[in-house]
Amino acid sequence: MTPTWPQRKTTAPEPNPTEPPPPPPNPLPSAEPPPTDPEAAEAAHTEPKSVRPGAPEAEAAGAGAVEPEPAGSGVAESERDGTGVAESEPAGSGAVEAEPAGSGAAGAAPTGPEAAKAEAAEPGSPAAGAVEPGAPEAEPSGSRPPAGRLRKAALAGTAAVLVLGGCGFLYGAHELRSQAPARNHALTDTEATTRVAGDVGNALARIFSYTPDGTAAAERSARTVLDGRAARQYETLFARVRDDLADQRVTLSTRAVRTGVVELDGDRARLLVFLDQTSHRAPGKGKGKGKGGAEDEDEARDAAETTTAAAQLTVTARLDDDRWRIVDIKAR
Amino acid sequence: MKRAVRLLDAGRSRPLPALALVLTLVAAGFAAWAGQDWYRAAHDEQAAYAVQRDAALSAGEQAVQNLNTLDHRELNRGLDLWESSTTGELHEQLASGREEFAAQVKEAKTVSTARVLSGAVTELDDRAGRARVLVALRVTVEAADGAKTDKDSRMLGELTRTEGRWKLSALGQAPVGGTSTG
Repeated sequence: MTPTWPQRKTTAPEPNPTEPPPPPPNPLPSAEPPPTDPEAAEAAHTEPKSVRPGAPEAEAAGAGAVEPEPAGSGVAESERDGTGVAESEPAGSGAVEAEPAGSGAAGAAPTGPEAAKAEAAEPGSPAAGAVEPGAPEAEPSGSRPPAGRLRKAALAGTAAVLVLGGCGFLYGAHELRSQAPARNHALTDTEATTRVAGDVGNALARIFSYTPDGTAAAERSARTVLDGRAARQYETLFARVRDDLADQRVTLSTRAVRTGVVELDGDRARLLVFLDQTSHRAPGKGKGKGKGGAEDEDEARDAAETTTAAAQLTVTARLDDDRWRIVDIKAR
Repeated sequence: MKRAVRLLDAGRSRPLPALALVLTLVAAGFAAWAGQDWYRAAHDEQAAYAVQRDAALSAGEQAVQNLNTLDHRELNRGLDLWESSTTGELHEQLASGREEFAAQVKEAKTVSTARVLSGAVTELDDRAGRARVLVALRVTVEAADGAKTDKDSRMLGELTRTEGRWKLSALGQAPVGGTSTG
């Protein structure tokens, strides 16, 4: 049986002469096809279950009842043959239909198959809703539909893989960018690094440098460069030493010798600053501000005493209105 | 009739692949974009530089700590660690002065333990494999009689990358009062 189908499909005109023969063998093959032919088996087992039983078989019965139609079946066949030329699937489906129909109508008449074919083709339009689903579903048993479905599946699979891959890439990129080293712009952003280091070094130098008479300047600077906890720390520190300063006549000059940016992330920065603090105790005499004999003696003893102390500070700074302000200072 | 079916068929089967094709193309475009985004992130020189910076810092801190830690009871282990943490001139100095130094420490019976308080990289030449670090350090020295003294020091270290690892090539105290007017 199988060899006959391809013939029908490929060569449209020939099947007509060859078709007459099939009907006679039909009764015989009608028993054979279901077990032997895989496609026929498919047609018999898979699709017919869902589609055929309803429409075509009922129509086949109708075909058995209304005999004039077989006359039209010739036309229908030619049409079908035409379709066979144009499209291989419908022919295939027609062929497939022919067999179960043949088997189904075998009991009714030897010409049944053709009637069934005609029915299957013709009533197709009135019962388009019923047959149509049959046609596309019958297609898979032909040659192209599996390919079509395969192609569809391949497309869907490819698209899914691409989307998943894209998401994976995005996630990977995000991971890379949010890694700790990448987020810390110390040194990688040279301009910002130089700037924050300079700003903080200068700020520290200004707020920790004063003369006995000029603490006001340091405190004024402190108000502009310090904020938060650092400002409070500075207040308490200065409140403690302010009085002593005038008494001891200490001049303190502070210099940031090394500044390293530990961390720089947007408007936050952490720095390590090495400071040199040179305190100079001037002798009270000569400046006209000496207080008394005892203190004079003290000052005389302290005269020209200069000490340099090393300090290490960890400073936290915040960028505020395009200016770096120190928000925390920790002595190390 | 069959033709109508066929038309319907065609009308139904064509747009789907077309749509699927368009969707697939869109997916391909998305994947390509995401891929190059990832590629850029992965080959970001800034990021690679940042990784080197962090590697240099952690190696530098560790090396400075190693060089300030020595237990007279485990002299060889300590001095081996010194040598493995250094390279270049510093390494040669340490290696040549090893015997003498070991004798001194044995005599003094001291145990020094260092702790890094903070560190920062101030310079990094990624290509040349050179870096400078600042390290604030607290060294606790335990004398033979058990008396402990803490000393804070600020160190300047120079690192050189050798065989993919950052090692100290110079180490010294940051000078104090170098240019002070006093």
